[in-house]
Amino acid sequence: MVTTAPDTELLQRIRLRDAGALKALHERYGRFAFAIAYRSLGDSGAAEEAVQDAFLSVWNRAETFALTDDANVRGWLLTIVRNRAIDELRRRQRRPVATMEMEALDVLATAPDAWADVEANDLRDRVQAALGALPEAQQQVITLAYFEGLSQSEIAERLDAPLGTIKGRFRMGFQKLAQSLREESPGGSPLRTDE
Amino acid sequence: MNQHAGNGPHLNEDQIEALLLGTASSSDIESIEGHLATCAACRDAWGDPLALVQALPFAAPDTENHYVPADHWDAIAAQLDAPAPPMVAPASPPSLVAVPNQQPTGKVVPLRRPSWAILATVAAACLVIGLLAGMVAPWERSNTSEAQQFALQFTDPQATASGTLKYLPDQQVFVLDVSGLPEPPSGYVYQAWLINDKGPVPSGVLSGDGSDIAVRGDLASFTTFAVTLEPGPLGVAAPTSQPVLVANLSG
Repeated sequence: MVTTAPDTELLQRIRLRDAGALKALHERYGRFAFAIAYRSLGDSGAAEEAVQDAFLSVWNRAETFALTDDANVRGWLLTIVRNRAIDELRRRQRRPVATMEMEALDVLATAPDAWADVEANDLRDRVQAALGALPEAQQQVITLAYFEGLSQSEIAERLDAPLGTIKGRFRMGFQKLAQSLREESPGGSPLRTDE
Repeated sequence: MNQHAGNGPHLNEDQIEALLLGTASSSDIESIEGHLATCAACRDAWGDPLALVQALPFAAPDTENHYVPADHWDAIAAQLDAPAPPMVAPASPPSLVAVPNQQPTGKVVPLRRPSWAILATVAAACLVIGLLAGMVAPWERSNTSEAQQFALQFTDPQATASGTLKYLPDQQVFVLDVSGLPEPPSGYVYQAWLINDKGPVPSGVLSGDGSDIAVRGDLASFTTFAVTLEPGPLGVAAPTSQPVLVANLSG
């Protein structure tokens, strides 16, 4: 039976050591998690391992997660997956592993989820459309940074381009992507404007 | 770097990069959030970088020919230290417990202390008797591939419920299938527990119709399985009421 329990309820049950709740989270997000890891690693076996590690991390760290009603469990999980994949990629490339500190992950997870009301499938469609609309050079910089964990200097080196050019592409790409997603969002802006 | 009077220098590519790369520290993130909250210019320039970072995982294309294999969950489940990290029963059992099998009246009434220690003692005694009688030891049983079945004892003599508790050694899973339990009062759920000499370990709540549950656990590590009525929908970390059913895993 597919559970419709909210993510926060599943995490609460995981805290009570309910393996069924972790399984439900896996059924809900396993495919997305795998897609992220595969996008970074390009290898099914390694992607499976990264996702496996991430779910075990959720199981072992659920107790430390600041569980509020609007906690971003989905974002937390997928960020762990992405970080696991990047760590593995850096190991393979003999680059220093620069994992985000777990406290930083928790801060991200407790930030309001701008996309809480958007189904994962819809969000994927929107983000991919917005990214696809960027000029290729800007797309490349954003995806190299996010999915391969390359710094702007490393991207400049890989593409044999001046650092200033890469910084410009990064800024333009990031800003256009934010703008595009803002326009795509149901209310015109999922982005916070609390001042 | 541009500055303004409000809240430090404007955000720059390096800070956004750290956010994107996942190398920003928790204080970096808080600082970015704090700055954005008070700087309209940066919000105009960067939108909401945290929202964008929350969305970017979804930029990964669906993997078409590389879906998650069907047995992926099994590989994760096999590594869970389930059902518990040590979640030791309270040193002093709660002296206030809800009345099971009754409609909650909104107040909590004092009853006798839960008899977890007695249950554990009885289970241990059964284990000794079982071993003396030449029964197979639990750690040996857990290696067999055949499901083992344990009798359920319902603590309410008026109970008309019945059911089975099976243990699947290969998967290290207990499967409870029970029928005839009274409908849990509103706001309550039936919660399963595996018990050893350290106390009861919360092991999940029964499904919506209150009839079944599968619980991961190594038979050799526990002496008793029990179900109690607890506040829902998630159950509690330590039991607050007497068991409605018990199964002795040692005999």
